[in-house]
Amino acid sequence: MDFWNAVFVNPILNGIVWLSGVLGGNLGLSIIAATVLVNFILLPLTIRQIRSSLQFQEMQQKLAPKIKKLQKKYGQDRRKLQEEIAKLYREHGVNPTSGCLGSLLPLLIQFPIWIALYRSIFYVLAPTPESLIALSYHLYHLPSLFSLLPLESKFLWFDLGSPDIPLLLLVMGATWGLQKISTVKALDPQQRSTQRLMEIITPLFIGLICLYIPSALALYILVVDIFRMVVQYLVMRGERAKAALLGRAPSLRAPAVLKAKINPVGEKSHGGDEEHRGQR
Amino acid sequence: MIFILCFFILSALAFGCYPAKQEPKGSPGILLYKGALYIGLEGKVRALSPEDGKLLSSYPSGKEKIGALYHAPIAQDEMIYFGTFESGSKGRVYALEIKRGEMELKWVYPPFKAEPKGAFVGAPLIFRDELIAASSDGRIYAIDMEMGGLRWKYPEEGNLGRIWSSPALGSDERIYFGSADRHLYAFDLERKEIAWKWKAGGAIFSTPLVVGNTIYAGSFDGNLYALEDLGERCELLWKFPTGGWIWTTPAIYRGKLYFGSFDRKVYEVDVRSGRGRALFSAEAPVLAPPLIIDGILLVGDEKGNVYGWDLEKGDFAWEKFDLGGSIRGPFVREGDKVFVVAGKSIWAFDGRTGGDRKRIR
Repeated sequence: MDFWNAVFVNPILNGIVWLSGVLGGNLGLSIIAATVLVNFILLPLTIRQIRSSLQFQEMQQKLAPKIKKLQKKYGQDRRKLQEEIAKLYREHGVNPTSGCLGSLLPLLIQFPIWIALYRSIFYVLAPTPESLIALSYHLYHLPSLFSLLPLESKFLWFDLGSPDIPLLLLVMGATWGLQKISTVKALDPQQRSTQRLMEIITPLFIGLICLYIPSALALYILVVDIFRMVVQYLVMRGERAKAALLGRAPSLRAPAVLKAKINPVGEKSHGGDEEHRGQR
Repeated sequence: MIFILCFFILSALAFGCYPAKQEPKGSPGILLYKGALYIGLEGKVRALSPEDGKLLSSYPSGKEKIGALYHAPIAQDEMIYFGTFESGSKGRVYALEIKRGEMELKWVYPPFKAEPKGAFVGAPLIFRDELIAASSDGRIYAIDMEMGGLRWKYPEEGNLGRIWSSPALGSDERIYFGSADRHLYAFDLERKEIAWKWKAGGAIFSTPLVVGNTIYAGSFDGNLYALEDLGERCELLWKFPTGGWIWTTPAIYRGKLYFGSFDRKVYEVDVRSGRGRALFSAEAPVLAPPLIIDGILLVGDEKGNVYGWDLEKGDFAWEKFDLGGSIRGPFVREGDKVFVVAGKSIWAFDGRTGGDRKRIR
């Protein structure tokens, strides 16, 4: 626990306290600033995770017609079908596990930092005398930090130390938006219905959590969601622009909310996009 | 899909490992009144025998709980009064009547059917027929001691910041208290308004010590301040720096102030000049107010150590001993016998020698 606190929690916690001093003693602004800052530091990993996920999805969609053909051919023989699909992947240089790992590894690396940020926010709230005493053990021995505490828990219309329903609704909305923007629609109708279900369940799950946690942590989730949405949008736009420059249509299907903003370059489709596949 | 599943699993682990809320646990003080120890423990106020800790009575009885206590109850005319810290930084003020050794609720403010106020960390005080209680919601409440109704509150609109210090009564119907907004307030109970306020460099959670017109208060900026009350304003006489938060109320003895700091040191400061020195270093931060018994300075620290410092000799009177839990409340004296809460235990020992230690609960 000491190692965990020394390496992850304490630097972030002291950073939040210091930032609140810089930002006029405003804990809410400090949480927003710290969350954005930490996510900026983790940005290369986030981008890598998004790209990896997109590339894997793209390749999957590209090979989908061939896989369907194989399914028709070897539908009864599951073993043979698996072998043929594996062979197909090998031919196209796709490692099915690398897509998942490529996306999961950055996520796993980021997770301790997110938890530390969450924990730091939890500590700095210090709503009770004993939690303020506990907080003192995490502070670096700088008089300028000590004199900033306790931090004011009022921010905008809510108290950062208690749950807040309007903020909860905002978090649910942002989580739904992030889901919508980041989920590449599956080709398989069954998978697509699962995705639709997850688009509902995830915001509900987050909303349920927000009902029991201090608003400071809900604010943190909201900022993370908005940050991720912006990054996701920019990465997807970048990928499409890159694809356009290379003269190939990206088979990535633009999420519904972005459809209007991103122009399809679908003349030379490789068949990944549903609409284009339908034309062949 | 796999991300979402991972997210759910990791989130559940993360949220599961950590509690969603920080519930108040309390660090109660002890009231010694009419042959019984009154203390808030585990959501109840208990009356215990000072000899063996035997439970004499409890409020509320049964499985009900009323929240945590961060101070010792106060007593007058067979009544005890205290404020609570409930979940969500809320609280109420209670008046219990002692009848044939049992505690009965006389009133609670606000009543149970009404929304609670902000948590009450500091102890209330009695002024004429009113109970004055300072709340975490940044207001002072004056409650009718007989009926439990609200006489007045200050301010009506807005607040004075999180008040965790107990108000200290001075002369001229005036109380002094600190706040998280870094101010020390002098409040006129007669006029029901602030006489003056003075800003420190950090929050003031220590209960001020009032000696005549001089107020001594520690701050989270690490300084002990001495202020002179000049009626409608105050003047800073001196400040004494330490290396950590000062949460404790100083003890005064022969023109010297004694107090501990979060920097783990125990200090001695001259009341006139403000010059001082560190007497010794404790093993952990010192939050509890010290007690002086016949020239022996008793100090408790966060680790549960009790130190006895002989102020005449300038050395330890005895080898420190460990009571096994944080000491945050004051020492309470009955003759040479001293009671103190360490963690969840109540201890008694001889304040002169440090001997005859007994865990009475």
